Amino acid sequence: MDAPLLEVKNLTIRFHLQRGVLSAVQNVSFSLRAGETLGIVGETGCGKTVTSLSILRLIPCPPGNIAGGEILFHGEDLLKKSEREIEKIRGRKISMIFQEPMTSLNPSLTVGEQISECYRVHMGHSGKVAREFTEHALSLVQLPSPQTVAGRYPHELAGGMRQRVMIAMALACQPEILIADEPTTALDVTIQAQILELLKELQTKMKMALIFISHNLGVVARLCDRIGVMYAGSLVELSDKKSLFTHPLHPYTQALLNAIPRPDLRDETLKAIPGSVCNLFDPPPGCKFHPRCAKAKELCKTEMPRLEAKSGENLAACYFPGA
Amino acid sequence: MMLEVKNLTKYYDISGGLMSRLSAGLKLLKAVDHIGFSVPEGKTFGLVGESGCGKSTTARLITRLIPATEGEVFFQGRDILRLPKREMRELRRHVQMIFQDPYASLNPRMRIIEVVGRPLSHFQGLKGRKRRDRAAELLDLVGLRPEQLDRYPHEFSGGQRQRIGIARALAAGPKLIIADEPVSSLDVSVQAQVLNLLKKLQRELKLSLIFISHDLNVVGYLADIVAVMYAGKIMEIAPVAQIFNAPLNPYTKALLASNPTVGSYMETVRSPLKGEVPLPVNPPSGCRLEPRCPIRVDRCKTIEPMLEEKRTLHRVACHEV
Repeated sequence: MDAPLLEVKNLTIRFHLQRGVLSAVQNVSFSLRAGETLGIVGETGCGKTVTSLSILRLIPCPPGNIAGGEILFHGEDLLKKSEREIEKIRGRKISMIFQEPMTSLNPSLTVGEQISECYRVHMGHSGKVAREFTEHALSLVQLPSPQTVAGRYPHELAGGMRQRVMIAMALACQPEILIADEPTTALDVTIQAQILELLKELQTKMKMALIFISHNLGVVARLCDRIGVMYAGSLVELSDKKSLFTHPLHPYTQALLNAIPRPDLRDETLKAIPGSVCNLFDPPPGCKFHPRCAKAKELCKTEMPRLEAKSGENLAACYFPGA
Repeated sequence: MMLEVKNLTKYYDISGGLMSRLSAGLKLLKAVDHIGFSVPEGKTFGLVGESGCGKSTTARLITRLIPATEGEVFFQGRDILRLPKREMRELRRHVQMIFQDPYASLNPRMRIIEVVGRPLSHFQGLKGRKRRDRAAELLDLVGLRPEQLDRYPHEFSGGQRQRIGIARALAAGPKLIIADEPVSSLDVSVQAQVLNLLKKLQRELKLSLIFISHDLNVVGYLADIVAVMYAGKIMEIAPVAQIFNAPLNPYTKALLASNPTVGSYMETVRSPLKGEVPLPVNPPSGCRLEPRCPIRVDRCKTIEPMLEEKRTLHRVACHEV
C-alpha cells in the first residue's frame, strides 16, 4: 500500500482560557490516503473543527496550544514549518471550505476579484490570465453564466451559489487535499444534495483527497469511504463506511446511530444517550464516554482506552467494542 | 377538528419606496398563499419544507403574532383571526408555542420559577406556594429537577433550556402546541431526548401538536399527518406513512431523495432538483415548482394546480399526478 498522503499522529490541542485549560483534542491519530474521502463526525464541541483547522495551522496561538503530536504531509511535519513555508501549502496544496460562505467571503469585493486573487497570489498569474482562470473555475462548479457571476457581490447570490463560489476558490490551485468543514449545514436539503454531488464529481475529476467534517451521519454516509467518530476531543472509532453503519464498534457510535429519528421507527421510543457531554475543562478520568456508556466497567473509569484495530482495519478506542 | 385553517394568506409588500414602486412596480412576497389544512384532536401535524417556504410564517399567523392578509383559522369552531383582543388573550391559554432557539426565547434575567410561573399566575391564577408547587411539578414532568427553579437560563444546556420552553408552554394548560423547529439547534443525542419528551407529553396530555421542521427524519418520526410546503404553497398532505412510502408530488419525491439518511450509505449522492430554492416574489401564475420540476408540462406554467384528493386522505397539488 502507498504511504499515506497525510498522517496525523497523537495530536493534542489545548486552549488556555480564563476559565482554565480546555482539552479540545486529545491524542488524535488518523491517516488520509491519496484520493480518498474521510468523514469526521461528532457533536458540537467534539474537536472535529479544531482538528481540521490545525492541519492548516489556523489555530490561534495563544490561546490555543498544540501540545503534542505531528501532522505529516508527504512525510514532512506541518507543525514544524515556518509561517512562510506553511503559506506555500495553505490554499495551494491543502485547501479548506467552511460552513457559512457568507462569513468566509469578503462582502466588499466581487466574486471574480476574490477568486482571481488566488491565481495571482498563489500561482503568480497576471490579472488577465487570472480572470480567464476565474471564469473557468466558476464554470467548473457549474454556475450558470460564469462571466455574470464573477461580477456579482456575495450578497447578490443565493446560499447554494455562494458555496459553489467557495468551492471554486478552494479548488483554484488544484489542491491535493480539500478540507470541507460542515459545508452544507447552512443549506436546504435539495441544495445540500447538489453541493454534495458537485464535491464528489470534482473530487473524482481532480483526484484529490477530501476530509469531510459534519455533525450529520446521513450526509457522511453518502459521501465518504471511511468515517472517524469523535467524542469530547478523542477519536473513538475509525471504520470503513459499511462496517460503521452495519457493525459499529464503539458504544458511542452505536448510541449515535440509535438516537437518529427514523420514520419507520415511529412507534418506538428513541434511544437517547443519557446525560450530556462531559465538561472539557475537567474531563473525567478513563474513557470520556464512560459516564454515559451502558457497557462501562471499572477499567473504563480509570484507564483511557487507545484507538486500536479491533476488527480488520477498523479501529476503536474501547475495551469492550462491538455488539 | 382542533384547528381548521382556510385560505390563510400572508403577503408582504417589498416594493420599497415610492420611486422604486413607480419604476419597478409592486413587488409582493407571497410568503403564505391561500393554504388550508386541519389538525385533528390529539394528533401531531407536521409541516415540512425548506427555508422561505412559509412554514414559520404559518405558525406566526395562527398564533396571531403577525396579522394575516386573508383567511380564517378556526379553533374549536371560532375564528381566531377575528377574535376581539380580550377573547384572544383568553384563547392564548389554549394555543401555546415552543420556539427554535432556546437561547433567544428565554429572558436571561428571569429565574426559571418566573419563566414557568408567569403563565401559571396569568392563566391559572396561581400564587405563592401553590404556584411554586405547580412549577416544580412541571419541571419534573419535562425531566428537570424541582430544585432548579431558582436558577437562571444561562445555567442550563441547550437541551435543558428547550425543556424549560416546553414547561412554560405547558404551564398555560394548552390544548394545542405549535412547535417551530424545536430540536433544530440540538445535537442528535440531545435531540432524541427532547423528541421522546414531546412524544410522551403529547400522548399523556392528549395534546394536539403542530410540529414545524425542515428535517424530514424528525417530522417522519413525530407526525401523524404531514404537509409539505414549497414557496408559500402546500404541495401535498397525507398521513405520514403515505408521504414517506408513496409520495405523489414531484417536490416531495425530490425532498425525500435528497434527504441523507444513515440507511442510504450504499447509495451514491445525487441531486434530483436543480436550481435554487425560490422566494415567492411576484410568482408566476402557474405551479410554483414549475421552473425546477422534472415532470412539468405546458399547462404547469400557466395554470396553478389545486390541492386535490388523489387517494384516500391524500391530497396533492400537481397536474401530472
